Amino acid sequence: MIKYILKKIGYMIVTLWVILTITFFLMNCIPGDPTQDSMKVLPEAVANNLKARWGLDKPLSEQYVIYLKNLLHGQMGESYKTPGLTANQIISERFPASLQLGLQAVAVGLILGLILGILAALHRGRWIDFLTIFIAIIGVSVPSFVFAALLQKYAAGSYFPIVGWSSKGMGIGQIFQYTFLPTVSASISGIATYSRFMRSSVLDVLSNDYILLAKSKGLSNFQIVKRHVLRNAITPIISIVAPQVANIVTGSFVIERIFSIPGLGRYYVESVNGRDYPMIMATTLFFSFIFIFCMVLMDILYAIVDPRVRKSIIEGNK
Amino acid sequence: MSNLLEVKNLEVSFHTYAGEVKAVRGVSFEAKAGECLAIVGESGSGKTVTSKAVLGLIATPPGEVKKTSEIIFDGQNIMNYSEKEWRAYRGKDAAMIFQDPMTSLNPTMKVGKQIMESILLHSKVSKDEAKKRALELLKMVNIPNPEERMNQYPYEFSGGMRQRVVIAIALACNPKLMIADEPTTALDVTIQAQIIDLLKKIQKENNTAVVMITHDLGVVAGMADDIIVMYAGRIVEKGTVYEIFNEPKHPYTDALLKAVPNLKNENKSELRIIPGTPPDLIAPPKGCGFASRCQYCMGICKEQSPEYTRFSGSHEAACWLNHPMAKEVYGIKDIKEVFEDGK
Repeated sequence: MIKYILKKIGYMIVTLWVILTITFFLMNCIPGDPTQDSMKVLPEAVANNLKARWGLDKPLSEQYVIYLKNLLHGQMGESYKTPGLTANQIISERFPASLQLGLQAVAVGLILGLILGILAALHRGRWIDFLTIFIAIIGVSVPSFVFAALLQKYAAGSYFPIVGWSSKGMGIGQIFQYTFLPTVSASISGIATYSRFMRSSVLDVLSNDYILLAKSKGLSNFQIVKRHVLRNAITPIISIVAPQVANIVTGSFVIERIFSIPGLGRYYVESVNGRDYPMIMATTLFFSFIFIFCMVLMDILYAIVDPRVRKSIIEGNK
Repeated sequence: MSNLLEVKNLEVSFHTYAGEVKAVRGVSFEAKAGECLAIVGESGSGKTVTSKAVLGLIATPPGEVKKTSEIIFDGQNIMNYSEKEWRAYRGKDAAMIFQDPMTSLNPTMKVGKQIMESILLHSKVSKDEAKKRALELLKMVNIPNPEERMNQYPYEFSGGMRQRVVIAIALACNPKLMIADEPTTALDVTIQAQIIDLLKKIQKENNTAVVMITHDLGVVAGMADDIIVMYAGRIVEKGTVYEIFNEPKHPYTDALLKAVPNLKNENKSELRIIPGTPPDLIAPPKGCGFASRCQYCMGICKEQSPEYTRFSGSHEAACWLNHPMAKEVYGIKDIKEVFEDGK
């Protein structure tokens, strides 16, 4: 198992290098350069000075080598748009809020989604099933900012503040108070997706002979679901959840904007718009890292849930 | 010997979009302790539905077991059981062995745990005792290295081994009634023989009543005491093994027996088949279900459902050819002459 994980980490490094290289050269293919701004035109001397400072006057291949060298030392460079702050600092400052929101949203999405999906499958054709299908359709087709705006409209003046985020030193009650609305709006698409997939997965499992065998043993429905359905039904869900987790914990541009959350989300968009090269590289690499990390986590989870996968992993490394 | 299980006028329907499928239309039979009752018939004749109804495994909806049906187990009409009573009965009093061992075990649960599950459910024993019992069961069904096998998953077992595990699960609480739904269909022939021997041994040792559902007449001949032949949701003939194999009184039974390939036959004759398909059970025929495929079909067969004619204490069949009038018309003493004739 350890050998397997080491191997996965090796692949991860290679993948990250490939992504880094492609992004680096693609980024330089964008017309214009960081000294150009649609709002104002810099005098040529100033622009050249800036280019020299950022090392943009050197040939592209040299820039690439310098970037790699810095990266190996853990330095992702100073942001062009916010001088004085390095990309490392921005990410380490901004990521915690995004991570917290993301994890809360995934947790809520998974808990509600799975419960709804299971109930819908068990009571197929009854009201709970239709409710789940309804939520799934609404949740998938209506964008999260619509929910966010609606929540703000109806929650305004209530117990839940419509903007802001938890900060250090807050008690659990206050954290709940400040993070409730953003978490709800970020989790809706998750609830929709997970419940829909869980419903069909549970239905699939329920049609198996081993469920009938479990019933013929005299187990109650609850025991059957707990012991025989859950583990078998959850496997397909893992592969859907993993990439979504990566997406959601790295920050959402829209939700963070609407609720004024100091997260990482806006940098993905703003760095590209502003041709902030170090930030483009940093956000891309960071996202890729989290994504691949989630994928490795998914493989490990698979092995925990399904003994057949475990066996193939162990055998593949003999 | 008294009857352990009595099924009276069992009727099961399934409500589908196309209409009500009358899968079982008034089936009555008895099973005795220590004896094996075989239910034979082609696919869709209602064998499996009948057996599932006995264990209360018909999903409702879409299924429906008609109120007038009676299933009497050990003197109790279990049709009146509450869900809780059903659960106490399933697994403990009656257990089932399923057709396909490849799909009837939970792939993500250790085999030992799957056996222990029903022991722990029905008897108040500690985990260690349940484990001991599970080991005994695995030994009883001839699984080598049971200690090691207990901690393995179903995918590490072959088909025959899995079926042994399924049998071990069924045996876990020493049920009085064991229903085996085509237990050998998915296995190859040598394994089939082993499984049949195992079932026979268990039946003798535990004095279990076995209801064996199959379409393999070879299995029936070797194991059963009594046979029920089902067709289109009805019993067309029932009797002892000897009576069914040697003195069939229904054209369908006769055709089934003749359809068994004969290895001794050297002159490479064609396989005998029964032409046609079973009737649509959404709109079952007014008369005999087999009429459209029966080569001896008479006018009345399509008009009126035949009643059971009794030939001995154990043997009866539902065919108009056994009616005194039919015999008179054909000038025969027994239906046998008609079958021999081949017409």
